[in-house]
Amino acid sequence: MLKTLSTASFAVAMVIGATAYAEDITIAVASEVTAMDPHYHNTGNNNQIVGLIYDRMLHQDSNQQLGPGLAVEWGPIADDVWEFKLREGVTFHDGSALTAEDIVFSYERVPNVPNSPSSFATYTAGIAEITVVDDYTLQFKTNGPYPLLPIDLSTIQIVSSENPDATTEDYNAGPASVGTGPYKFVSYTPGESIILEANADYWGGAPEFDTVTYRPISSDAARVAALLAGDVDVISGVPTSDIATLEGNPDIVLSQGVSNRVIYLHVDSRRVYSPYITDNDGNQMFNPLQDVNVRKAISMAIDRDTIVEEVMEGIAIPAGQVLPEGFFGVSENIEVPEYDPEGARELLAEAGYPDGFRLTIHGPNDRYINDEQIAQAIAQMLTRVGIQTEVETMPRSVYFGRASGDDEGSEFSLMLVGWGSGTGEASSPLRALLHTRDDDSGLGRTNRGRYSSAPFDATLQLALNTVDDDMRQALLARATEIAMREVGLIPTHFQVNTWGSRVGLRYMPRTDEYTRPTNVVIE
Amino acid sequence: MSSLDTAPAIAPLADQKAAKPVPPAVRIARDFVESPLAVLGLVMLSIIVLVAVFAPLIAPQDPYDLSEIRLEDSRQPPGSKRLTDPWEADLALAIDPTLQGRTELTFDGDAPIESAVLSWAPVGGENAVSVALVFNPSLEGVPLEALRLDDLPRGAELDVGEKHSFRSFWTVDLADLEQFTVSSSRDLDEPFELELVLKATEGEALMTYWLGTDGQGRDMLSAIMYGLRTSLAVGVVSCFFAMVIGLSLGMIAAFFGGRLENIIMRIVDLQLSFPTILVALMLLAILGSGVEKVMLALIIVQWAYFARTARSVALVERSKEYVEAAQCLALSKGRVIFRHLLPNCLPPIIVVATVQVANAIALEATLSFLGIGLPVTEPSLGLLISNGFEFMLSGRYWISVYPGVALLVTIIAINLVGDRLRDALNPRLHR
Repeated sequence: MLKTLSTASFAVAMVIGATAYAEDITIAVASEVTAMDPHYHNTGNNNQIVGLIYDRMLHQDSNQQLGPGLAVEWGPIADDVWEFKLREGVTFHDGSALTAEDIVFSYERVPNVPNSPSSFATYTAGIAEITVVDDYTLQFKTNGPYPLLPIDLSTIQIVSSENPDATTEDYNAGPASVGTGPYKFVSYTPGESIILEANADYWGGAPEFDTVTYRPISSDAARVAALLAGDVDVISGVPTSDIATLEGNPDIVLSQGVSNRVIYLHVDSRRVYSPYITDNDGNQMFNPLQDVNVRKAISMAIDRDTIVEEVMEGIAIPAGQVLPEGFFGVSENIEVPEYDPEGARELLAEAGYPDGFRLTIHGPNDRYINDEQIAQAIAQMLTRVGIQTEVETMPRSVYFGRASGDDEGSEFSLMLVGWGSGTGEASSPLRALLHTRDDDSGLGRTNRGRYSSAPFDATLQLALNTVDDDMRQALLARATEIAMREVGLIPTHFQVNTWGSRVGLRYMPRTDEYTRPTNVVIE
Repeated sequence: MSSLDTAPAIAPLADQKAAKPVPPAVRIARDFVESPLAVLGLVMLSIIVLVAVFAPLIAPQDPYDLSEIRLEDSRQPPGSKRLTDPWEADLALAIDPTLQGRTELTFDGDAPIESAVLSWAPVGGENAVSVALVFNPSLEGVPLEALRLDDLPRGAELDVGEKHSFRSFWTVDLADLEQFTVSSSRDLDEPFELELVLKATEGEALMTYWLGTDGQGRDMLSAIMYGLRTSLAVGVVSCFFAMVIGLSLGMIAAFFGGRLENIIMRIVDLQLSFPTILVALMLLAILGSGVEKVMLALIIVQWAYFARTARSVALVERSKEYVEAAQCLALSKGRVIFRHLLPNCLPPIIVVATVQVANAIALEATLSFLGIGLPVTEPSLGLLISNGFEFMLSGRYWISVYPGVALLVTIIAINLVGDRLRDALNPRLHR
C-alpha cells in the first residue's frame, strides 16, 4: 500500500513542479548509529539509515515483502544455483556505473569487517561461490538447497568496489560512503546528527526531500518535546504514556503499526546451576528451569493481557509465538498462553517446588518500549505464584554483552529480550534464538537460554532446505510449535510502534520498525 | 570556645548564687529556639524521621512486596480506590456454520448468557450468521462494562461495536449484543468459537490511594514513606562513617603535622577537586548496585569534607593551653587526641554533618534518578521521581511531584536545622 501511496505523491510532485522538492526534513530517533559502515553491525538503528545511502539486490517493502532492488530478475536455475540479473544504468553517487563486480565485492567484504559486534555473515554463510557471467548477470552457488537466499541478500547493502580497502572509519568519515541509494551521505557527527541529501539521479526517481537530518534523542520525553516545539518533523518511538495526550493535539499526527518484534524471556534451560536462582533461603539449588513444567508454569503465571493493557497502555499485542499472525511461517495452531496462576502453582508443586524458589529477572532499561516496567510487571506476577523474583535492569550497552555471555552461557537466568525478524519471516528468530547454538553454521548465535531440542533442530533444518514455499511455511510453523510446546522461550507481546509527525506529514509504518524519509508522505 | 562536656564547671559558691551558670547544652538549645524557622524545621524533621522509622507500621501498603502491589491499579490518580477484583465472566460460544438453519444454545444457570439463537442467512452476498443473546436475569443490577468479543475467524466482521485498531477483538455495547451479525466475505465453513468476556466496572473498595499510584500500581504514599526510610538511612549512615573517618584523619593530620599531614591533606585536596557526582558515578559503575554500595560510595566522596574541617579546627585547638597541659601530664597521644582535642572540635563538625546528611540524601536521589544505585523494585525517592518523569508529559504529575516534594521538604528541614545549629554553636555570634 505504501508503494502506491508514495508513487501517487511522486506523481503529484511532478505535476506541481520543482517547488515541491524544496523540502527538508529532520527526524529524531531514539538510538544512535554505531557506525556508517553498512556491513559493520547488524542492528535496526544502523540499517534504517545506511539503507538510504545504499541499495540491496532485493528490497523489502514496508511489510517486508520482497521486490526488485538492484536485481530485476532472479530465480534458481538448479537446486543449488541461483541466477540474478542486475538493473542496468544504475550509477553510484560518484558517477561510476554499478556492475557485477560491486556485488561480488560487497558480499566478500561482509565476513571480513573487523570487530563487528553483530555480523551480517549469517546471511552470506550459505553462499559457496559467486560467478560473474557478464556485467549484469551473476550466478550464486549455494551449500545445498537454499530457498532463503533472496531474503538473506535483501539484508546486505551493496557498496562500491572503487574503495577496496575502505575501513569502517573511512565510511564514518565519509569518503567511502558511496552507494546507489536515494540519498547521498553528507556528514556524520556522532551524538549529534547524520545529514543526507537527495540523489536526483536515483533509478527509482528522485526522492521527496532535499535534505534529511537524523538526530539521536534518546530520552523519550525530550524527543516528544522536540516534536512539540517544532525542532524536528518526525519522531520514532512515541512513548505509550504520551499517546493519549498527543492524539488530542491538532498539530501532531500519529501513526501506528504492528512490528515484527517479539518481546520475550530467554530461559536458562540447560545448565545444572543457574547464576541467579536460589532456594527460598538463598542457597544454591539445581536449576529448576531445566524442567519444562517449571518453564510452562512461568509462562502461565504471566498475564499477557494485563501487561498489554496496563504497562503498554493497550499499544501491543499479546504473543504466543515469535512472529505476529500474517507473517510467513507463523503457526495457526498456537494460542496465546492462558493466564492461569492456580495452574502455575499446581505445576510448580508437581515439579517439586510447592514453595517456589528465588530468581532475578534481568532486562535492559533503554532498548524496548517500557522495558523496565515490563520486567517489573513480570516479577510481580511470578512473585504471586510463589517464585520470589527480583528485578535488575541496566543500560543496553552493558546488558546485551552480559546476557549473551560466553561459551559457558549467559550471565543471567531469566532475561527480557526482543527480536525483530530482519527477514520478515519465521526462520530468522527460529535460527537465531532457538536452534542449538552452533558457532560454525552461525545457527543459535543469539540463543541465550541455550535451549536445545533435536526434533526442533531437525524440523528447522528441513525447512531451511525446502524450496517449496508452502512446504517450508508448514515446516517453519511445525518447528515453532515444537519450540513453544517445550517452552524454549517465553514470548510476552509483539511491539506496536508509534511514530509522530508534525501536521502536514504522515509516517507510513514499517513492520521492521525503521524510520525513513521514504516512508514520510506529504499531506 | 568553651568545652562542651569534658570538664564539669566547678564554679565558686558565691557565683552560683549570683547567676546560675548555664550548661552549654541548655544555652545552645535556648539559642536554637529563638529562630521560629529553625523550630519549624526541627518539627518537620522530627515528623519525617518518625514517619520513616515507623513506615512499616503506618504505611497503607508494603510497596516493596511485589505480591501486594497490583498492576491493574497502575497510574491511578490521587484519591482513587483499590477495589476488589472485578467480577469477570468468560463464555465460549460454539458456532458451527455447517449446521444450516436455526440453532439454539442454552447455558448453565450461572453463565452470564441464558441462551443464544444462531440463524444462518447470507447478507449482501456474504456468509453471515446472526446471533441473538438472552442475558441471565441475575446480571440485572451488575454494573457491566462494554463487552469484548474475541476469537472471530479471520476476515469476519461484526455489524455492531468497534474492532480494536490492531488487535483481533471487538468491543460491543451491551445493548447491541442482544442481536448482532457475524459476516465474512470468505466462506464461514469451519466451526469456530466466539469468546465473550463480560466485566463488571465496580468492585468493593479495599483502600484509598491518597497520592495515587505509580506505573506498577504501587501506592505512592507508602512508596514515599519507604523511600524516605531508604533516603534517611543512606544519608545518616554514610554521613556517620564519613564523619568518623574524616574526623580521625583530620585530627591526626593536625596533631602530628609534618609529612603525615601533608599526605593526608593532599589526598583530601585531590578528592575535593573532583565533582562528587562524577566520583560517585564512577564508584558505582565499578561496585555495582545495592544499598550498601551506594552507602560505600557516599562515604568515599564525603569523608574529605570532614577531614578538612576537622584539621582546621584541631589546628586552632591544638595550640591551646589545655592541650599543652594534657601533654605535660604525659598522657598518651591517643588520649590527648580523642579525650581532650576531639570533644572541643565537635561543634563545627556537627554543623558540617547536618549539611552533609542533606547532601548525601540529594546525591543518593541523583544517583537513583540516573538509574544506578538501588534496585527498581525497592524505589527510593530519587527513583520514584525518575520513574514518574516519563509520565509528566501525559499529565500524571503525581508519580513524580509528590516524591519530589517529600525530598524537597526533607532537605529544607535538615538545612534549616543545620543553619541554626551553626549559629548557635558559633561563639563569635554571641552578643
